[in-house]
Amino acid sequence: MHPNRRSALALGLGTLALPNLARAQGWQPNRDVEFVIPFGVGGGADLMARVIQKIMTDERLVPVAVNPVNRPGGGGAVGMAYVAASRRTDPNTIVAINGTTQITPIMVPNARTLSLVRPIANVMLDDFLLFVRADNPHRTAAAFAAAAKAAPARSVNFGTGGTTDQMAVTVFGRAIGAELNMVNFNSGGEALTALLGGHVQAVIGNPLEFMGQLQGGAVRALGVFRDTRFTDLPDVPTMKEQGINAENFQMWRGIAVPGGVNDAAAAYWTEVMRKVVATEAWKRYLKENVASEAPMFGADFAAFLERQEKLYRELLGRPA
Amino acid sequence: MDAFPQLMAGFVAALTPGNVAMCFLGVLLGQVVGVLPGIGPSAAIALLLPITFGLDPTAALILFAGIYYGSQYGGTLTSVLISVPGESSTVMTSIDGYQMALQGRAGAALGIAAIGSFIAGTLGTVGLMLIAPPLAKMALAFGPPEYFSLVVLGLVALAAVGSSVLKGLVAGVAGLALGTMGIDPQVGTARFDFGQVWLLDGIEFIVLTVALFGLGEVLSGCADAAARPVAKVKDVLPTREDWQRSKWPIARGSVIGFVIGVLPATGATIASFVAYIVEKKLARDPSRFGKGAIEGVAGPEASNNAAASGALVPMLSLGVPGSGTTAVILGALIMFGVRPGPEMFTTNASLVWALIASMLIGNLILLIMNLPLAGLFARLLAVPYSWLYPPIIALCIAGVYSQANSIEDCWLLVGFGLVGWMMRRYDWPMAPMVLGLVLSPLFETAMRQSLTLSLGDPTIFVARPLSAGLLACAALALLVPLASLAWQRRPRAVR
Amino acid sequence: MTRRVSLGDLGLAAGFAAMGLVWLAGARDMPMWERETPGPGWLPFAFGVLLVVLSAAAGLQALRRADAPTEAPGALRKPLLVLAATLAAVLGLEVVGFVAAIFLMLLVLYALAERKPLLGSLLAAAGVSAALHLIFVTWLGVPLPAGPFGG
Repeated sequence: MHPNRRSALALGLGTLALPNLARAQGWQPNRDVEFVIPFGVGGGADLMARVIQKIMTDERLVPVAVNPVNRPGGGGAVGMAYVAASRRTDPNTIVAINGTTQITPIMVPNARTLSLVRPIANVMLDDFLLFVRADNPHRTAAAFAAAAKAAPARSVNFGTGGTTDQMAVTVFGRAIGAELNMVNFNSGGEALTALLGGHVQAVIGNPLEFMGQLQGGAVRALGVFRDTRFTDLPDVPTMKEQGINAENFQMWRGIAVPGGVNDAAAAYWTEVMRKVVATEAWKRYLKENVASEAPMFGADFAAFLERQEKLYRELLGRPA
Repeated sequence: MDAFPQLMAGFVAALTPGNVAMCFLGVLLGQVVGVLPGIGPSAAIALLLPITFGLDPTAALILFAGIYYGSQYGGTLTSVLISVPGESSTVMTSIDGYQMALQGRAGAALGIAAIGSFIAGTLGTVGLMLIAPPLAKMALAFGPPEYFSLVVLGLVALAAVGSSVLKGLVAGVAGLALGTMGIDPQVGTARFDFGQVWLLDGIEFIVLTVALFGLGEVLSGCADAAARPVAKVKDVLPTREDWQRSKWPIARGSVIGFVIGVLPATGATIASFVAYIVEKKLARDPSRFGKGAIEGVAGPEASNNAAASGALVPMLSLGVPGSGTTAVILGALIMFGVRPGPEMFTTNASLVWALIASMLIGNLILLIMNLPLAGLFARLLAVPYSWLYPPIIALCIAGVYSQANSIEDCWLLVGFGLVGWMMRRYDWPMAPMVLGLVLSPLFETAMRQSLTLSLGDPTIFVARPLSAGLLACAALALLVPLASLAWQRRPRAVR
Repeated sequence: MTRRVSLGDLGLAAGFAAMGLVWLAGARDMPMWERETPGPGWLPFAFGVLLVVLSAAAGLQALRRADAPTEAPGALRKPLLVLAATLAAVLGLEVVGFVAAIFLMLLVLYALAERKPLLGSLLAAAGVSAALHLIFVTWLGVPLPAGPFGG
């Protein structure tokens, strides 16, 4: 959490144990809201942000216009730097954040991202599944794992479409005790294409890109990296059901405000996001994206982010 | 194939007033975003997405595809008239197209581009209709080693673009080096960011091209702006001779563009480069290229349009993105409740065939729209250059800024504008530099992916037949000119 | 008629060679190999070497050929003025906003660089900056810097 020390001192409170509820309910946006999307137009983060923007407008959750602005570059670092430089205390600015923004400073130490903003709410979790091509002889993750373990080290090729996929493969490799060979592609779509072409044997990826392929019978899903099966894929068991003790692995997506924003505005945006994730439109979006509902706010969200940070650093072999 | 009845059903669906309106709106919007540098079709589609939520998927797909291929027509306009490539795939057009404009033949250049685009777009759509599934299967055979060898073939051609081989090589390697800037896609190391967060994604292609070609041309042209004779606008439409020269480049460009467009990792930009190089290699007098050869407009313009149709092949028959823009369209389809998969042609047949029919209609609309526009816009050059160039600079700034809403890109515009001016002044070819920037990440990624697959064994590049064949072509392309050079013992060819 | 070696060619070759050296120096800090595959430093190093060698050859070629046409000394003045105006516009973009910065740049170019009549310059500058604002901001929703004078 990032309490705004300056305003607290100005009020002579010294410490800010309890947020002032009356004040928290009092603040409202006083001009058009700028919704900063630190990723390029057309990507997953951009789509999600634009859906949230549409919900905010359609359901009249925010009394002013919400204008999405893309500030892409550097795995979120450019957008965050923009917010920190020119919107540091502006309560009329919100930012889309996700797991990638958290990974960037781990990989690129001079880039700062989440430390520049104040996370407000988590809105969804992207799930991961193990996929193989339809002609793969193994029908379960357990059989696949046994074969991978028996094969020489690094002879089983996994296509990955980004750092998040690489971490998922690391989780799986550790759970089954095999050294897997990772071939990195620029996007999940490219990794999927390589899987369909038989250039890699397996992909651990988001269900979104694979649903059509599953329905068309081009690929097969062998296991889920979470505790429960998907309602849309009742036949695909979890890893744990198959005796593979893989940690749950999901990617979060959420909303933040600039680092210097006061508690009143933070409380306002928390309330708005609570309403957003409760709407029908949002639930429909999650269903279409085969993603998990996981609303988290305030201290819960901060604690979750801390746990994720530890997990990512450990999986990427980059301790703090 | 029972394509015909399905196509007829597609026409019935595409010719409803609503869908015709969508098609028209799409190609019109595509034309506009194509003209504007910095804003491309994928941005336009993404920006429209929230507005189109209420539409049915067919109408939306017709709209989005219209924007996509429409933008390939629009990008030509600024490339030819003011040497500012509106799209990355129209960079090659600006080389000879702009020279034609200086000679008063902008109308002919724009006309042949429109006709070539129409023919290529139509042929590409027919290809999509008839041979998409088998072609898509073949495209899947392209793995990292094949892409590596394909890029090697492209790199060999790099030096062939300019007038001086040595200067071209320097510019090409400089472009390759620029392409290594930013976060390394394989292991995530930040490279050559000089401590600047905004350089973590490297240098954007359109920023470099607008700077080198657009601003660089203004800087080298403004010195004698007042004295520069106003180009006499003649030949508003292509002449019979233009058509004779262009018909085979259009045919070759259509095939090249379609095939390269089908390959998921390569798109319209690379297709236009290849088409240009092929035309230059095949020309009886290659020295005309760079001085206003109409073949240098016809080939690349045909190929970038055919590539736009080709990129839809993997999307519609496999459900995987064939280019950056089709990736956005795929994402959009999911939002409309269509799950793109390997059986789009059967499970979503009505959608796919309506789209194909709409593409035939849309290309016709674009031709009808662009032929009169060609003459109209060619007259823009009747405005004296001293009135024309300040707004060109303003357009460059606005376009480069809007590419990523980034002021830092405008710094790059000024810096590379200076470089472009100097290169033009001293006759250093700039096309190899932008070609290097495009090929560099593809080259590096494919090489490292291949060697990861083979655990470091380089024989992977020759052990796979397709890859070996491409490498053999590259070797031939390199050795044949060298051998003929040695044979003739005429160092003149080096110039 | 005395200066015959093209200083421009030499300068460009030197510039590209310097860039090659920067790439060589930068590549030294990056791993050359990741296990048995080339690492992030390998290609930048290779491109750096190539760039230095090829630029040196291009420089030598320029020295040997020495057939450059002589240049009029005044030919550089206007392009430099135009470049300076562009730079000033980019500098001012976030200070005074897009419309004002572009308007001033156009005015300077028309009235000073091209010595157009003042009224015509004013009208053209106003028309072009307004048109660009209309297209990019109003129609396409690009957040061009607004500055203190507008929204």
